[in-house]
Amino acid sequence: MKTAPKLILGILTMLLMMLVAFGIGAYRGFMEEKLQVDLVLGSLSDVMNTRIEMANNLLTVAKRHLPQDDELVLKIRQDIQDLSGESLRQKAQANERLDYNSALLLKKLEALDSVKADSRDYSYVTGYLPRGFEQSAQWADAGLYNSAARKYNNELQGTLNGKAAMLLGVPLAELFEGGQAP
Amino acid sequence: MKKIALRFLVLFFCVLLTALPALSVDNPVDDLAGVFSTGFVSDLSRYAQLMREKLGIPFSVVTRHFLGGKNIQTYANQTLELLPDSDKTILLVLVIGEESYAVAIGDESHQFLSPEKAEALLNDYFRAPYLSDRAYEKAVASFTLQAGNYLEGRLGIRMNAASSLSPYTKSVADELVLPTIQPHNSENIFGSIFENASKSREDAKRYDEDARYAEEDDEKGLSLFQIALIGFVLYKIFGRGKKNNKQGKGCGPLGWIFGAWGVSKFFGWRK
Repeated sequence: MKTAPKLILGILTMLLMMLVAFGIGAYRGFMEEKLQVDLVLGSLSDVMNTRIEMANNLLTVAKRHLPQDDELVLKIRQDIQDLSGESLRQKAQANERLDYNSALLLKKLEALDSVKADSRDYSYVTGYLPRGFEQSAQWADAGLYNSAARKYNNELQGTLNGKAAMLLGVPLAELFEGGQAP
Repeated sequence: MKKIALRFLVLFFCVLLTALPALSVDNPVDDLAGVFSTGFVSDLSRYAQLMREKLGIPFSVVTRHFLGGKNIQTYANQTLELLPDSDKTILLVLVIGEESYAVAIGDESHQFLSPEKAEALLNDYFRAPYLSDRAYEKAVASFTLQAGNYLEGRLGIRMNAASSLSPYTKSVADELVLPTIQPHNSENIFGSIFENASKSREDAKRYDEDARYAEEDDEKGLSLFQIALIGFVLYKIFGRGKKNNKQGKGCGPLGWIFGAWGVSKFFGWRK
């Protein structure tokens, strides 16, 4: 083979091989990163259980002082159900609603005479439960996950490697955002 | 994948360790809810020690405020399994905020105190002071003494315990004053309102670490090794045409390797 065509063929083969290697590298790199983001989501789901626990604790106290069909009690029961669901968006919305509804229910309970007359439940309503909700919200701070997911999405959409990985089927990460006013 | 598997393994052991309540041979009472006086905890512990030493049946008590929706009997059974001598132990669990209680009995002790008999003792001696009067010490003391007496009869062994628990069976409930939440005791308080606060804390720590790890910059693209390999393969295919003439003064595959290195830089494919 003559030198010039051979060189051109060599360079073309080089480009092809590098392109393939680049594609494989980008796919593997971003899949690994996606797996890492999914792992963060799994960890978030674990700590999200503390939100469900606190909601159950609040309902336990509330049922001693309020009827079972109380509007806030029903709403929190629905929030618990949605928090245990599959959809990420639904969970995020339920988590946001639980923040709002639990604060309302705690205030409502605190104002009840029956609660005021019960030193144990009054301690729960004014101390233990609000502190527990605060702690569970701190543990289950979705901001950490969203920040990791956003960074991953930005890289996937904003870099050459990312675009190659997307072309090869690497998906975007879903954000844990409800975006719904209570 | 290895890293992820290792993380799960570490987590599994952490969960196993943190799930263990603060009960031990020397400390058979874990008053997480803080509803017992110090004197009562000490008298109850002494009686439980006697039961262990004389009757060979360890007795433990756990109090908590809430279980976060978990079934109390499941919790009691799981806690029992984590205790040393779980086959022999009798465990009484009080969940104050849920106004519930449960007893779990190790398999070997079933022959001396059946779950049905324990339930009957709870109904007769525990239930009223626990639920109606909120006299927690009275309820626990009454049940413990009755269970002790029953076991003495079944085993034919006398503990000879001029019980220090007897006075508590006559006591009336003081108004329950729960500990205030202060930073120094928040550990105990969270331990009594979350089903397993230590595990939740571990989960939160892991979540934080995972999130930070995910945010670290991973370089993606061709590594130097891949570039060198491509260069070498190209050399093997295209770079050996002159092996029979005397002009071969090149540097082997280096030309192809540097070429690949330069091209990868030009296209931005390099790490």
